[in-house]
Amino acid sequence: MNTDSPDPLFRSLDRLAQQADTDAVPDRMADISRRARQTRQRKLAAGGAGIAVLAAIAAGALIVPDRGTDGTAPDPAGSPSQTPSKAVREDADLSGPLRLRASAVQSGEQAISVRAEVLGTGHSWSSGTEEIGEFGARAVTFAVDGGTPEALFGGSELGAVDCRRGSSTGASQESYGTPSDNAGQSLQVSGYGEHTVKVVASVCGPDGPAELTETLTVKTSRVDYETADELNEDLDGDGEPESIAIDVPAGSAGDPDAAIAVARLSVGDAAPQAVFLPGLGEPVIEGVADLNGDGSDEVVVRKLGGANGDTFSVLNLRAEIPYLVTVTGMGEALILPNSTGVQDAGSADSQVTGLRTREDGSVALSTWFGGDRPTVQDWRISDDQMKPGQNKPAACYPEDPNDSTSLDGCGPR
Amino acid sequence: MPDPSFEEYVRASGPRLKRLAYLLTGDLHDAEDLLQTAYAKAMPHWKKVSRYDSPDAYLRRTMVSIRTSWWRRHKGRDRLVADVPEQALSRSAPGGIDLDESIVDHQMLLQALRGLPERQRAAVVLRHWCDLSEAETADTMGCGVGAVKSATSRGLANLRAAMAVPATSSPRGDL
Repeated sequence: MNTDSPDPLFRSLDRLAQQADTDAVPDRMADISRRARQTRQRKLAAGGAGIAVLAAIAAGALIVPDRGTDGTAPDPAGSPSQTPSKAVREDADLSGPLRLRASAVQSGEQAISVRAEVLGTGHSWSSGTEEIGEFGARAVTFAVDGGTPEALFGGSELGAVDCRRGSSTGASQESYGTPSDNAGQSLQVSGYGEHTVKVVASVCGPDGPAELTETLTVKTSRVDYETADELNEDLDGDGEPESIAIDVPAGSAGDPDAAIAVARLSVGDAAPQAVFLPGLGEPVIEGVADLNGDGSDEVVVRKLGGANGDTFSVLNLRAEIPYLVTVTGMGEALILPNSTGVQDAGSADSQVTGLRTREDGSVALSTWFGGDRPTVQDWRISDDQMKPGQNKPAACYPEDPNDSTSLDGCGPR
Repeated sequence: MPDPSFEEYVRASGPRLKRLAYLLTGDLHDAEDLLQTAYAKAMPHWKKVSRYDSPDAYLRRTMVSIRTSWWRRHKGRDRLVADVPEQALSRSAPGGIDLDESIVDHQMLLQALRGLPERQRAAVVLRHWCDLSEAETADTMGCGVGAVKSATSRGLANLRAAMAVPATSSPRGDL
């Protein structure tokens, strides 16, 4: 620390910081080791059961070509058709929608293996480091129900994986291209029933490129949810309150790592309409406003946490199928969702810092693009797009970037 | 068995990182908890982390990230925090104290820090105590330089305001 700094604030902070010395801990290694062990056990528990089941029924064997004499990765001479593979079939039952996640897991000092998980079931598959060697996983794709493979991280084609040491996508003992704490990327499959999932992991193995394949089937059924937040309000002006509930899988309320929630609208005795809210976070109903001027209100749901900070989802509950737009950044029109029900328009360079619904039906979102002050902007849903209005500098701005209520009384009127 | 070099690093870095944890949390117990959690996250990756130019930078980033995560989980829940662990200085709290001119009272400063929003507190501490550049602070906080400028500016303004009107308790209760 800069003890020579002339900054008076530094001196004040430094004097205060020294108070921490009064709480000296002679040996914290035991506690650190225990915490690290608990973390490791939690990670193992998350996938251990599935791995055991899958391993027990694994069919086929990994065939590896001859190893280079120097023990380093050879040039990527192998083609996908020549690479080793193995096939596994597993049947699992799942309450709730099928959600898949691929992630890179640091399994040893220099090895990154790949894990594919069926979220919510404990069923997972891990490549294991013995198959990955020291050069790590490079790509994982999921192909659901015979559909087009979808890459969840890394490159999408084995042919694009260059396993030469130091290459941009391949082996490097210093950089694996995937962070060791990679939380993974997830994919959700709509509809209940039986799904077939083919997992393909393209890796740089000890002897060059390899392709590991797993196939599993999962039967999905409806899940028990519990309500995390709810609102009873007359949304359509008929004098009768409608009920909006944000449901999360039972037992996951308050869990910021819960990967999914469901927004459910109940009108009278009719069957509830529902839409999934993807991504991480604790969902809360932020506010209600007629964003598109069609006479019925939209519901703004705020989800805490996630890789890009809080996100805002706008639910149009008048549509035949409620649609959803998730906003993690601003700066351009957001295309409202297609038939998948989800459109995510994130921007790494901006941060939504506050939201206030306004009397004229628009929603004011404050966004930090950098600079001294956030920008407060109006947004309206028009046709199939959520469009920004004219920029209006804020009269005041959120004191707390994470406090959604701090725009009250501030911003453009 | 932990790597001996990791144990050595923990022993050597513990005091200075504990100070940072204290400024980030405003509470001694939380500070130790934060520090140990950060060490526990670094331990499995120590071979790699130890080769970094600055393992401290990794630990700083980890602590800020953990702290933000905790805050999100417990947002809105009031928490009791301990007073500064010494007798407050006898100097009476000045009205309108200027942070640029004075060494300020521990208790006042602690309360003012506690009252800052999480990101503002982190930005002020990283910029003005860790002496990190705006770019380094942005990297540590996982945000853009503009956000750092904003958070620092707002944090300093809020500190000045809080010091001008001494509070008797944590005003936001979000620590």
